[in-house]
Amino acid sequence: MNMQVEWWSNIALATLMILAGNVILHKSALFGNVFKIIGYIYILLFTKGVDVFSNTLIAASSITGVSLTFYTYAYSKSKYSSISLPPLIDLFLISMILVFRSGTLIEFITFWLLTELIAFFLIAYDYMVSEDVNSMRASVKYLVFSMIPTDLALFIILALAGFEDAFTKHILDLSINISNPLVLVVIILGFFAKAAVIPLHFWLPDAHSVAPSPASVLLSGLMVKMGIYALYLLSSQIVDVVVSFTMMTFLGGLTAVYGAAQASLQRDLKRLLAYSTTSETGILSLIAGLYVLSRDESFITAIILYSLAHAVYKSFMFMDSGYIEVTIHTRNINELGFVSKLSPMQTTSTLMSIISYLGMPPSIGFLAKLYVFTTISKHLGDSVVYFMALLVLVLKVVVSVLYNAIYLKAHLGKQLSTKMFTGCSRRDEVALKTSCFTSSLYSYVIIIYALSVLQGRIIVQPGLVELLYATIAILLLVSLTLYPLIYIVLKRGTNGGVLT
Amino acid sequence: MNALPASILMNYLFAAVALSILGLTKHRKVLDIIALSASVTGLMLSLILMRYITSNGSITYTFGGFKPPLGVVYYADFVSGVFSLISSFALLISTMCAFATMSFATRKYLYILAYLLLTGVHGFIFSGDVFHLYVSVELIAISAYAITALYSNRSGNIRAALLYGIAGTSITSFLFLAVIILYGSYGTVNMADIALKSIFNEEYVPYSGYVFGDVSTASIVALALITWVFLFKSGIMPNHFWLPNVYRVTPIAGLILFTSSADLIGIYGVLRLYHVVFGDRCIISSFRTTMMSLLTAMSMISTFFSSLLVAKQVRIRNIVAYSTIAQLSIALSGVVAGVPEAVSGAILHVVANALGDALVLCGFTLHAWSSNKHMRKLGMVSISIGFVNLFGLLPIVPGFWSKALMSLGFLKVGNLLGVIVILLSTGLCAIGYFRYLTRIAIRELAKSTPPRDYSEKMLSIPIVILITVTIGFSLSIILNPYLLPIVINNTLDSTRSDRFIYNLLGIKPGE
Amino acid sequence: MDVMVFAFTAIAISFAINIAIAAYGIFTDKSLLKKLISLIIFSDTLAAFAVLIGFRLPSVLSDYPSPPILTNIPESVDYLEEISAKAVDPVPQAFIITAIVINFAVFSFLLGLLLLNYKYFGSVNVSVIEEEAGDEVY
Repeated sequence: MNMQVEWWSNIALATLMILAGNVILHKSALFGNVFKIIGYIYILLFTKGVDVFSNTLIAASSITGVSLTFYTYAYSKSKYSSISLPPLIDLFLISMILVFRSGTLIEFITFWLLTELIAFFLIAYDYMVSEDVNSMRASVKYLVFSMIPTDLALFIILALAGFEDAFTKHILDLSINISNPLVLVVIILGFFAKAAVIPLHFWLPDAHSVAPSPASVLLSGLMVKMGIYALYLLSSQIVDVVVSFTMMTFLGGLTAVYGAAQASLQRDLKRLLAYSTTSETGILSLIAGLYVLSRDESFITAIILYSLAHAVYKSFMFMDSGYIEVTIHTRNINELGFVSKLSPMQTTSTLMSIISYLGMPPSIGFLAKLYVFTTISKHLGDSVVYFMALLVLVLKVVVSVLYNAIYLKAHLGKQLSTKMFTGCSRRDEVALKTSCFTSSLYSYVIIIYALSVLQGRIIVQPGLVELLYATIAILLLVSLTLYPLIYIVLKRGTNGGVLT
Repeated sequence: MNALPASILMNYLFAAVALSILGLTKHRKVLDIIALSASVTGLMLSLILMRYITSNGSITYTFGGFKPPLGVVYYADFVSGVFSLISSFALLISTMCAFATMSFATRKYLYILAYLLLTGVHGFIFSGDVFHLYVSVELIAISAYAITALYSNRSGNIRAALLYGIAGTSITSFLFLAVIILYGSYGTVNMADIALKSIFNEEYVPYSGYVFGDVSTASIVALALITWVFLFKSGIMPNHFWLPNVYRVTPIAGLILFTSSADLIGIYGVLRLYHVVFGDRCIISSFRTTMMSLLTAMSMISTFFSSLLVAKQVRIRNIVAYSTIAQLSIALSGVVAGVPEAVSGAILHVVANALGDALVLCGFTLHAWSSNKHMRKLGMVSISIGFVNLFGLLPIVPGFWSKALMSLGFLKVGNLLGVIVILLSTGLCAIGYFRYLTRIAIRELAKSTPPRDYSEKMLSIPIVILITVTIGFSLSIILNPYLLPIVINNTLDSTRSDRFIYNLLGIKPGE
Repeated sequence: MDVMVFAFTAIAISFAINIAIAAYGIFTDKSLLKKLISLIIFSDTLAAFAVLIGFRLPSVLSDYPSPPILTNIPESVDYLEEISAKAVDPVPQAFIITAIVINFAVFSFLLGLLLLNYKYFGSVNVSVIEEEAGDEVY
């Protein structure tokens, strides 16, 4: 009881600080934003989730919050010339953090539904501001195909758990018996709708591309993880292994390939990123399915690391697309290609992030990919399924190189004619740029946190740790020779050279 | 304490008579004071009744001391207590709303009609007698037509009232037919007596004797007819045609009454009819089961289509009209699901719907008519809470708990489709609600000129009361996890046929 | 006796026909006035049907049922039993008088509305009114 009070006071204090920051924002931008950053750091330091996964998600949320603070302010000011967006974004993020740390089922459901509702208004934000019909259409699509199936799943779970257990029992101690396979299918489909896994994936590209960029950051970087988190919680209940494993693995694998393929066909920055998100959640769902099959805790660690890496990477990428949108007023890759000339710093940050995504050391992406591959390889002998999963993963990595290269074209393309900055003051542009750079740095900074997580998780398997550290050391050496090469490429790009 | 149900009714009836006599004189203030105080008294009495019922069980009141089935009898249990409470509360809100928004010349008629309506509703809720039921329905109906036609200088009102009136009167005639068919075969109009004889048709009851002829055919015809009447009264598709017309023109104060009393009687009637009068042991139980599955299918279809229509609407009255149809259809499917969880969920759902509609309508009036910035903001808050409540996916509003309870009930009987339909309808309705909300959030409503007697301060009082009650209600559910089991148990007691028969007739069936 | 049964059957059938005609009028006729008239026919038929429910066929005691009126006052138990065996059932008649009073109120109200309606739209025809009113909303 005492702990709970302490926790509530912590989160209440942080929320108060963030909201106060939003009020101060009207008087002084600097103080307001600093106040908000302090609030998020407070959350990062003092808020504990129910287990490692939720801790990680809270950490990812709060650092996203820190990097978004100045960004949202500058974005909202230069795109909508008002500052009504930051409070909404903060509310969204806080309610998401509350979902990740919920102790009881009822808390979980309450904040989950609140988050969804705020997300609806964020997606419809352009409609509210400028009556953009597309955004209303996207938000309605989101409402019908993502919100409602998920709520259905939550309601069924609430009904199966019973009201008294939902109020009193800890969320990890619940034991819900989902014996009816039909009910199980409906529940899993509901969480798939949130994580945008086939067959309920089609709302995501629209919703994530019409939302304001800070909202896309949260939607794509963190909100889809809510679906994965729920699948993880579900997998610890009494479920039919065959049904849940089949659905998660096969549909997840399908989504991974389909999303990656679609992403490489897109020419709109945000749609490309949105499709890549569906592909990533497909991978996560696939790993969750493998966990249900094998009950090997390493898969959970893999999910945790992969989610963290993806959250940080996707946050940066959407921030970058927002930067391009605000400064150059287009998101079409064919019209872009000169960002490196306008802002070399932005291109550097993008390259840093993409390096992390492609899994090069010493980034978090490297660690995540490595861990996923080694864990699956460990089980290769058990069943052909693991081999198939590995194949899907490799295929996805190959295609992801392709679409990341396409994305990079926006920065280092053939386009020679340069448009000038319009509609964005120099100060705001600097704020946007710096926030982006900070965000891309996180891909490297957070590795410390990830290693500590790893240390805690795999203490039982000393052999693997040694293997891991050895691999890290080798790849570090490799990367030391790789980075000068990248630097040269960058240099050529800024000098008017061509990168294809 | 036994006379409590009758005293609530008498309170309203005397208020109506007193108001109509005083309306001839020129005492404006006296009229308003009487109207307000009578509604407060009614609410107090309803609260006392509810408190008495939850602690001491049901109340049976015999008029003139005649034992049933000889005399008319009033019966109040948990379910009727809830319906009495919500309609009395709505009357209070409606009276305040009328006081704030309508000119004196109009509102003095509204007061009289509202009290007559409430008299009818309470007669309906407490009645233990089928013929009394018919009389109450007629009283409700004629007051509802008159409230619809209150602005007699507007052609739309007259047209809606006329269509409503002709359709309604022809349907209630069928209720009369059903009553005389029941009397002809059972020899009684007392519900408990009918319930007893529909289980044991050899039973002899003093004063009403044995049944006459073939009871089962007569019961089937009567059941089907009465069910149809109730579906019409609650506007379940395809009997909904009158509802949007009426909702488009009725004054706001009247509309609040409709959504929380006059339109609920269909749901309440189906609950009584299918759980108490023709319980699961009656001789036509196979027909009853067929009817119940038919009603489930019908209510689901109705829910789906009306939600689709909600998604298309852009005007607030249309949204409220179709959303009322959708919510009442959901409640109907809960009532006929046959488990106490679903039934109590349905009851909670009509309560939540009444609160939500009242919030939306009052807030809309305040928002559209006020010139004060804070008042407009309060109106906006009220509309938002109302819509979130109707949407009902946040535990801080009662709408969530009703839907959760009904989902629990549906899963218990293995009706997964029911849960899916509820959530689907929620999503479709949400499109309409939130589109409206986003529109008025940014582009403010064109301010219309209020009537001369409009007082925004007066209107803000019912809104504050409504917000407090809505949030307080759900907070009490969240803070006290044992409240819902109490509700479920009490509902279970109210839907038990043998208990009803014993309380009214003093006969234990099967002995 | 046979005549009685025949008459009874004939009356019952005529009620059914009456109800059918009235329902047809209510649901299909375009004129609101005619709808209202059909409605009145319908409710009166139902009232007559209620009388029929309370009717008593001839029995051993008497050829014709007697009215449920007590004439010997103070009454004795024997007399009451005799009356209750011979007389028609008075309860349906009580129903009817209530229903008639209610219907009187409702119909006069509806007629008033109809008059107002005629004043506004210049017609009692449903389709004309619908056309006139158009898509009028609040």
